[in-house]
Amino acid sequence: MRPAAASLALVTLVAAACSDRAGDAGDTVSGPGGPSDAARYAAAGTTREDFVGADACSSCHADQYSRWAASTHGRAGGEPDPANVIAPFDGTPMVFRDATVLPLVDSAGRFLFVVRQDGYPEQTITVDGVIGGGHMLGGGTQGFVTRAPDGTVRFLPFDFSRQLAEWFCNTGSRTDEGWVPVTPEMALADCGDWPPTRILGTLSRFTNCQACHGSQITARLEPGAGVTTEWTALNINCESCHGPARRHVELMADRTGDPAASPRFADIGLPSRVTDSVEESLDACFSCHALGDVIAEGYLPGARLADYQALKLPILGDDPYLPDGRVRTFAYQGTHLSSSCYVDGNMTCVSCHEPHGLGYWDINRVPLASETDDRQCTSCHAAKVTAPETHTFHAADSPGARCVSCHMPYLQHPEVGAAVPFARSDHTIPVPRPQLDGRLGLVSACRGCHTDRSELRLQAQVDDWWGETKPVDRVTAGLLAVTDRMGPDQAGRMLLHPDEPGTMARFQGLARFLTRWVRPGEGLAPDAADRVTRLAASPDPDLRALALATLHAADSTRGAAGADGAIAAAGGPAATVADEPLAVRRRWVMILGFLSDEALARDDVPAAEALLRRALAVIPGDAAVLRSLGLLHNRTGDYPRAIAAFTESLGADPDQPLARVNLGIARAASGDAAGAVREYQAAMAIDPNEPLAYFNLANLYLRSDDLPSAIRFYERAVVLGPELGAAHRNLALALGRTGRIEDAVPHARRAVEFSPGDQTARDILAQLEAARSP
Amino acid sequence: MSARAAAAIALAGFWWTATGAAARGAAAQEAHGGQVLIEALGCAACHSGVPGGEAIREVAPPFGDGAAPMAPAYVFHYMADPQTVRPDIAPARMPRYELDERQRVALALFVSNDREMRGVDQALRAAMARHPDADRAEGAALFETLNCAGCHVHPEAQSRVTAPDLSLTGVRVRPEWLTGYLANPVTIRPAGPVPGEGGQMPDFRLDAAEAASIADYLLELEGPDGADPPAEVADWEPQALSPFAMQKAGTLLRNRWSCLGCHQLGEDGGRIGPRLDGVAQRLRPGYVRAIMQDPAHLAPGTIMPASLEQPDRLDLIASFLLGRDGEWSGSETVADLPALPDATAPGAELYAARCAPCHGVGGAGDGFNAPFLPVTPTVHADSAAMALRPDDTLYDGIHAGGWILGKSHRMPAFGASLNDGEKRALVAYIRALCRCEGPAWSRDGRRSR
Repeated sequence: MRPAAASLALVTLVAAACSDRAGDAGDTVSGPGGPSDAARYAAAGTTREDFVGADACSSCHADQYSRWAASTHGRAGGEPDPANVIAPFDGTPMVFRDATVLPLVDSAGRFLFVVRQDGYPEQTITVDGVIGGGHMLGGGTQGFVTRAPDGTVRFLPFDFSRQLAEWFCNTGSRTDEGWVPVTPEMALADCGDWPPTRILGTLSRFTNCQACHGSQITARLEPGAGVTTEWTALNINCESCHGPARRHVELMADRTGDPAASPRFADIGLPSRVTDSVEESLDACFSCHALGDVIAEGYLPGARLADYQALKLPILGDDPYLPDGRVRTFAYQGTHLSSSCYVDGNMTCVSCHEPHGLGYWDINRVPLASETDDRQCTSCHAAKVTAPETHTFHAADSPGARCVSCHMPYLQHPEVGAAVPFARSDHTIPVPRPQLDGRLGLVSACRGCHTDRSELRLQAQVDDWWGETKPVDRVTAGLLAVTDRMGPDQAGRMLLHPDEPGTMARFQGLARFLTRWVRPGEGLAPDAADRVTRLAASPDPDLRALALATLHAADSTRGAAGADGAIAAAGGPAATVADEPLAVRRRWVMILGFLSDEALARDDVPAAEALLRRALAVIPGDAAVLRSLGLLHNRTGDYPRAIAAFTESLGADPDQPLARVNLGIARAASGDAAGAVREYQAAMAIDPNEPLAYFNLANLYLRSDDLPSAIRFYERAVVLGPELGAAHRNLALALGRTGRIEDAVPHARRAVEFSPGDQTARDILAQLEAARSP
Repeated sequence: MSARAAAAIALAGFWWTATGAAARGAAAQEAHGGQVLIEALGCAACHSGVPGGEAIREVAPPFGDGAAPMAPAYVFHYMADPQTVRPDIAPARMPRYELDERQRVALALFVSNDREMRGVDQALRAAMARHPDADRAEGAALFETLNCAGCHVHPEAQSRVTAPDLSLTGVRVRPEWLTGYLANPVTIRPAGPVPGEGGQMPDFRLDAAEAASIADYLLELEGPDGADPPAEVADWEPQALSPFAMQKAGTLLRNRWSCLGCHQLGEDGGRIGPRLDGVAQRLRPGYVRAIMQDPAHLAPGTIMPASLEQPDRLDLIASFLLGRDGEWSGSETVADLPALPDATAPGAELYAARCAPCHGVGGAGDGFNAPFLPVTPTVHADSAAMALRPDDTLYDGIHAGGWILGKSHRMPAFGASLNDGEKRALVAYIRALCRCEGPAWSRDGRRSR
């Protein structure tokens, strides 16, 4: 394979990774690269105009409004303004090894970052939005966004920690050291968001959704026009929880007359949240405060979140949770789903959090002054009130005697690292088990205060005071004890517990079993099959889909039993796969897609393809699955079948610019350069700002030695996708070949800066610098 | 009353009268007013808060050993519809109870004092053949349930004052309702004023004037000493709720609150307390609002727990109940109430009163109210299941209700109505029922020493 083809393949895979991620998100309505947000509200029959903003609520709901306005939601962000910016924009520089960044306010009052990087012209970046107010007790941060030329609004790499009073950046996608304060030893590109790639809103080209850092944020791609990013506010407004209020405002505008007598007061245009069931209540909060995979766009408060997001699916692959549900990497308060208060009770977020002011109250809505007030717990756990010292063993007025000190300790999210405080109180509400906590890599609640004592000693104290402590559930026990060396029978007995009450735990156990002990097409042992079948009876769509996908993936009849076979084995009301709710089938497809990716990672291409074909039996003609099939064929060099798969995918959903790009790559590899050009142009017609269309088109010109055309399209590609190292590299190559050494060098540098592992880019830079030196 | 007179009545059988009722009522009103009537009828035999209670024992025939024998057949027939009036005791009279044949057989066996059963006629003999199990003990229990001893002295029975205190009648009920109710009483509490005991207000066949006279008197009564009604009773007015708010309140009431564990609303709900349909016609608005917040103050001895909800929600629910359409009607009496244990231990007594209506006297989950609940009450006698529940969980459920434990929201929270000792006594009693302990890990306190 020639280097150019290799680089092409590399970039193709980058594109594939982006689109696959979106494919995992099950965006089967509009397709990756398509107008995902365009469908967001339209799907619910709602438009942006249906949202009125918080101020419209203030006149009638003055009490709730004033509490909200002072809350962390009300102060969560906004336009850059001295009132909501906590970071110092005073010109004090952030000093990097290769750059200096000056945060300042200019004479017009604009908040700016002036970036002076060695070897590049000075850049001035305007702050167009402030995200966060640094309010969180365990680590408050503030970030900033700017409008990019392609219509997106992107997060800047420069974040501010209130506790540290320092600038920091997230190195996640570069040096992978978590969040680190800016130091003169760091390169600017050690910051994962340099150049900025995370956007506000959800577009499948970008891997990170940030639709929750504001209210009614939409990034929508109008086919043929480009991306438009809009929001109602950058704080979290009333309609984020209550839904679009235009009709409510109109209906209630005329408040004359007797409300009891007027039938129009039967429908006030909004649902009541007072009557929420436990799950409905959690839906409103977990649409933002939990990890989740998007299975359909368009969630609005009042709908069932399960129809739009799968909160347990991130467990597959990323495994963000520890065996007992605590945060292993980075998560939000979805860990509540692993708490006994939820599993064995009915606790919701608003059991403790007053939803307007976000202060605290007890289960009976009696306001509490502080987040450490025991009555959050004792209004239910009343038995602990009368003789608390027999339970706490700490002086009654000491911090150690507070319920939350032991049961909701602040834990640093591990993926962030230790350098920047980002601890969140543990919403699994665990029992302190110092030895186990230590084994799991956590700082136990005991050790959080008693830093001078070993876990062993603390455990001895716990044993002395409480004797036997509450046992963990059977799945958690199994997850803690199981080892990869065990056989599937033993692992199944340890991990699969259909009768365990915790849905999250049951999902975790099955997920581990599926990914470690189930081989596609090789069947399940009878005991495991029985347990999985019983797990499939769960009404929880995540768990049911996982169990069905397990049965389906393991099916040893070479697919003859098919999806209907899994349905039949699981029993239940559905007779065939077509009867199964779409919410379950979407999850099922995503899980098979995940297993296909895993198979591909093992270079087991036949299994990967077989799994995708099984997914097509669950949702026939699914555009995302067909696109994944095309990518798989591109990877194995089976271009005719890749072309067929992409063509079928685009038939199902034509507005997929990246599917067009990948179809073009398949055509080019088949020797159909003219056909490839047509596909790239078609991709540009859908999204005029799709950098990969320009990049791959430029590659064609580079290969045919039409350097001026190649340069023209590469230049467009790096403007639209400044993070694309390969585009910088190839542009440098093309410029170099035309003799424009001085123009080429900065792009070669960018290529090395953004893709440090790209040896070709290093070679090109070395050649250019050699050519440049006298 | 002499033994001779009683015997004469028994031998004479029935005499019916349709005369004199109005005249009696008018005379009573003119001469003595409502109070005279109340004392004569013996209201205080069952109710607190009204005068009298002894006079009726002077005129009601005594039963049992030492009293004149009474023919069983006479009792059996008389109880079917005791419209007998004895001019010598008027305006006192024997009220009418809704008794079935078996109950009348059992009562006849208990009160006749005719051990030889000489006074048995063909009809009673046939009825006894139909109900061979109906015995004297059953009659004794029924005698107690109906509080017959409130009026009729019987050496084997104690009278009990368990019906609602009437001194707060004026703050509780609407005058127009009260008059109608007194004239035509229906069942308000389906299982009796002490839930499970089964007592009911009998029909005294009061005419309109008598009913009005008694109502006038009751409405003027002042509350018991030191028991001023809460401010809400006088001051509170229901909100005019929109249909949206009505729907919200109705959903809360059905899906989240515990009220319908005990009270019936439409076809839904329990049979412990009065039904909630049409309360606007029966009760004063302020009382409806106040009873939720402080039932013990307004209805001494009630098992209804004080709500832990906030005032805004109490306003909403009270306004909802008062704003609903629907006629007030009585409830159907719950039949087949199990015998309550003779409990004296604190936990047992509390359990019998507050838990047994749903969980059953023996903790089998089979209380008389269980059939009216959406889920079977926890079987406290189930050792295996209960051994998995910590004592604290039982305590917390008693304190904060079933909802917080992920169990039925119809299990109310007694947190504001029982003290710590009472809650712990209940936990101990439940442990006695299950003959089990909670899991070892759940017990607090230093254990290794």
